[in-house]
Amino acid sequence: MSRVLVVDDKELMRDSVGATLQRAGLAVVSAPNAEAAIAMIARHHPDAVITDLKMPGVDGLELLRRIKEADDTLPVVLMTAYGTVDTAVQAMKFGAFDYITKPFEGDELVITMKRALQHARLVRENAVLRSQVTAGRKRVTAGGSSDLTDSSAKAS
Amino acid sequence: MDSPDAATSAMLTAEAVLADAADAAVEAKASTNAANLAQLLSAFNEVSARVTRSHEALVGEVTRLKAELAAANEQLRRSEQLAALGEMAAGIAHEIRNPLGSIQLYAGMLVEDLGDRPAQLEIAEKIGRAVRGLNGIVNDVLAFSREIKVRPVEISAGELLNGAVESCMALVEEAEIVVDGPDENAWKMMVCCDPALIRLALTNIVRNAVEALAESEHGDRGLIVLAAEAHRSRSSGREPVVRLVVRDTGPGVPDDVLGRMFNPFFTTRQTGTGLGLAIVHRIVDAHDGDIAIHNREEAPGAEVEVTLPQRFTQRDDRENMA
Repeated sequence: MSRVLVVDDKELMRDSVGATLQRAGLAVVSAPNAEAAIAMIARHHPDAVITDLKMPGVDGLELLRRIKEADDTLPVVLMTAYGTVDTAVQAMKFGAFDYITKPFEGDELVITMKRALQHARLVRENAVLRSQVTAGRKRVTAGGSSDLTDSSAKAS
Repeated sequence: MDSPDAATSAMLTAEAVLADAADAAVEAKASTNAANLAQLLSAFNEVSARVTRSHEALVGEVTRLKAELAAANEQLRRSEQLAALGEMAAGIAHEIRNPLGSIQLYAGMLVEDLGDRPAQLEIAEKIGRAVRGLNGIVNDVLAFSREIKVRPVEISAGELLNGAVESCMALVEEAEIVVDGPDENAWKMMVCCDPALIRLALTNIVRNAVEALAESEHGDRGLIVLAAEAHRSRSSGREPVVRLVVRDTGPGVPDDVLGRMFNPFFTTRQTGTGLGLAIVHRIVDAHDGDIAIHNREEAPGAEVEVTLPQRFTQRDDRENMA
């Protein structure tokens, strides 16, 4: 089961977002601030993170930066407020997978998170395939067969 | 042209004539000539007539300046009031939005769970709809209170006015309203402003006019006239301004409403938050422009004028070249 980390300083938001994702069949852990979130990532290894943008202390943008620094493949979705599209665009530049504008419908939230998880899985699979291809190429160069060279073109 | 300069020059002339007359008086004393005395008297009469005229001109000028100052003060008072209200409203809206978002999610869960209980399902769906309605209000409040950043570019007045009508085309057609303009002149006239903001402002104004026409009882089809005029402002250093005008043939605005219609949440209608014109005011403020609403003198109906200063560009030259 894929695991999602929900980060929001508002208890009600953590609960409602978490419950919505749980009902969609995802495992959920949550954190009330950025420091707790970093600790949760280390302990629970979530497959995706959804965080509020505006939080007291370390905000969502800074949390995003720290997560990307530690693990570039962990997708982060930001919950933004109406009228902060500029910040959301900046977040995308910082490597956020997507943003979702509050208030949102449950379906919108679930679809966004499932896309993020799917994307992360593909990225991981690609990495595995690429390493296999690299290993295969070496063998091909050594053995002279051309079969694996074709499949490397498809995978990359 | 006439007032301040004319009044000053009248005063100066009067003073010069008085000085001449005083010289003449000295001469008259010396000669005690009756003819000189008559000349002196007529000179004094002329001076007093001129002084009276210049006094009248000055009084007129003072009255006009006082009215202009009162209008400017009123606009400033409204702007400050709107800014203060906006700040408060934004604070409340932000606090409301998060729990509202949670309620929306919880209501969504209930809708999922109550598929086999239609009566309860309906209640859960009603909660969802009510929350979406509240979200609409919160968004309006935030749009009203957000700091408005103007990104000015050049755009034709015709495009702005036409865009405003297009964005409420459904309403216009439903109410069977005839839209006159913008004319060729407006399409040629370039305006320096933030197109998205001004189009939003004009849309609100046009929508207001459409609603006024839809409410009006008399049988004729309503008419909305859109126009653009280029001026030099009478005050503030005669800078070039563009005036965008939306006129309607509705019932006009009652006097007790005129003074309050820019107040946030003030509305005479059943639907809407009453933020439309307050948002318009804020947008126009952000452009350093002004907005005036008055009832038309020649026929029933209201007229809204949005005046936008054009100091940003040297447009006159470019326009001539194009």
